[in-house]
Order: sequence, then C-alpha cells, then structure tokens
Amino acid sequence: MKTKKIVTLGMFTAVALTIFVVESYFPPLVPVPGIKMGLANVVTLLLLFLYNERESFTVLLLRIILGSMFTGQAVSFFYSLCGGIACFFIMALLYRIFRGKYCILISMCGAVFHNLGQTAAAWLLLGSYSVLFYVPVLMLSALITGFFTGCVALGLSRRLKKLGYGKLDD
Amino acid sequence: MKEKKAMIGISIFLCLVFICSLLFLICMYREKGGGNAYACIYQDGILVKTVSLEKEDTFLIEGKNGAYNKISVKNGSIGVIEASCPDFLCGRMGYISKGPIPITCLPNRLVIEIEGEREAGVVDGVVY
Repeated sequence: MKTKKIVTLGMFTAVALTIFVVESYFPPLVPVPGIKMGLANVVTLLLLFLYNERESFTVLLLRIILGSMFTGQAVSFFYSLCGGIACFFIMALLYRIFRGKYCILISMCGAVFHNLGQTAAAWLLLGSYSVLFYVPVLMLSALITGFFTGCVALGLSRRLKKLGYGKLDD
Repeated sequence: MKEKKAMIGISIFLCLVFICSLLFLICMYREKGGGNAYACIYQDGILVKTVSLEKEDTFLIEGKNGAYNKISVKNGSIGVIEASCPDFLCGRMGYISKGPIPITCLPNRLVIEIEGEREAGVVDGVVY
C-alpha cells in the first residue's frame, strides 16, 4: 500500500468517525428508533465515487468498529454493521450499473437498504416481528435523508475531483 | 442507454416504496383500539410480563448488566418513564394505547406491544 493511500484513507476515516460521533450526540428528531441523518454515509458514497469499492468498504468497516467504541454503545455495533453492509452492497451495485452517474438516486437506495438492514438486525436481536411496523416510517425518513446526503456527496465529489483527489497511485 | 433504463427502474422502485409507506402509515394510524386492551412486554424476545391497561401501575423491568426500564400504566395507555439506555428513545416515544406500532428500547432489547380485546391471562376459548 502506498503511503499516500494510507494517509488519504486514514484522513477520510477520521472525517467519517467525527461525523458519526458528533451525529450521535444530536437528539433524535422523531421518536422512532433507527432514524437519523446518516451524514457519515456521505464519506462512504464519496469514496465510492472518488476511488473504488475496496477503499470505500475499508473506511466503512473502520468507521463502524471505531464509532461504536467511541460512542460506547456495544449493542448499536450490530445494528450499524448490518445496516452499513446492506447499504454498501446496494450502492456499489448501483454504482456499477449507473457507471458513476445519478449519485442522489444511489444515496437514496443506500439509505433505504440501510434502514432495511437495521430493521432485520433488530428483528433478529429482539426476536419480535413487531419492529417491522417501524418500516414505513423508516422508509420515508430514508428517502428524505438519502436525498440530502446524496446532494452533499455529489457536490463534494465534484469539487474534490477538481482539486485532484481521485488518484491514489501517483 | 442501459443506465438510463436502470435509472428509470430505480426511480419507479423508490416511488413505489414512498407510496406504499404512506399507505401503510395511514392504515396503521387509523386502526381503532378495542376495550380491555393489555400490553405484552418482551425482553430478548421472551414474554416477561403481561399487564392490563385498565388499572394504573408502575413497575421496573430489569435486564442484564444493570439495565432497567421503569414502565408506567395510566389512563389506558402504557409508556416508559425512566430507563438506563443512553438515548432514552423509549421514553420519548410517549404513551401508547392502541395500534400495531410498539415501543422498543434497542439498547435494553425491550419491546412493549399492545394486544386488544382480550383479557390478560384468560384463554380465548375452550372447545370440548
């Protein structure tokens, strides 16, 4: 691994982690478990657009592991992991299909699948199907937050590409 | 234009998700609660307590590692008033008295469900 790659990915992990930890201190907007802005997903999406799947996935995993350590919620690790992985796979797939276009749509799909993954994790952990009744609310919130995080990621990736990010091998 | 077709497909999928969610939400909130409702409290997927919503009550459900939720029943509804979880989302959900949407406390793995029109501890019917 080149030094530049290590440094760049380390910086992005720090950014993602900061967003994740700061966001966890915000009071929940709607009293339904699982609803949050998902701003940390901007970094995952951004790395997917700037570099490729492997870099993005590495930073995502690091962010989830370190994030649940820093916020001190061991239980939330499992929810974040299931949501994060589901979200990542659908975004990587759509990124391939769309060949790097339609960032906002990718983000919205990612958010929807993140919440589905999280609900599945809650279903498994709580052993009660009644958490599935949260799905409609979660879907609506995912569409809204996914739209905005997608806008942020799109704007950022355009500007960062102009600044010369996006090449790790020189 | 393969990706354009895929884009339209995904857009339609997202619209469907949106419409279905709205419809489900409207249906869920319109559901009327019957009399004699009671609440089932599950911890780690196991039924630990059934309470009638008719009489006022306050009790503590304790979990692993000092986790606890203080639950209160009043005016035919049930809610969490005190808990050990860091976000206190279970308390913010307020009191519920009807409908399928439960109160959950993810950190303490607690679920409170409302079951209507049956009395706690009574069999539905017996056939000889």
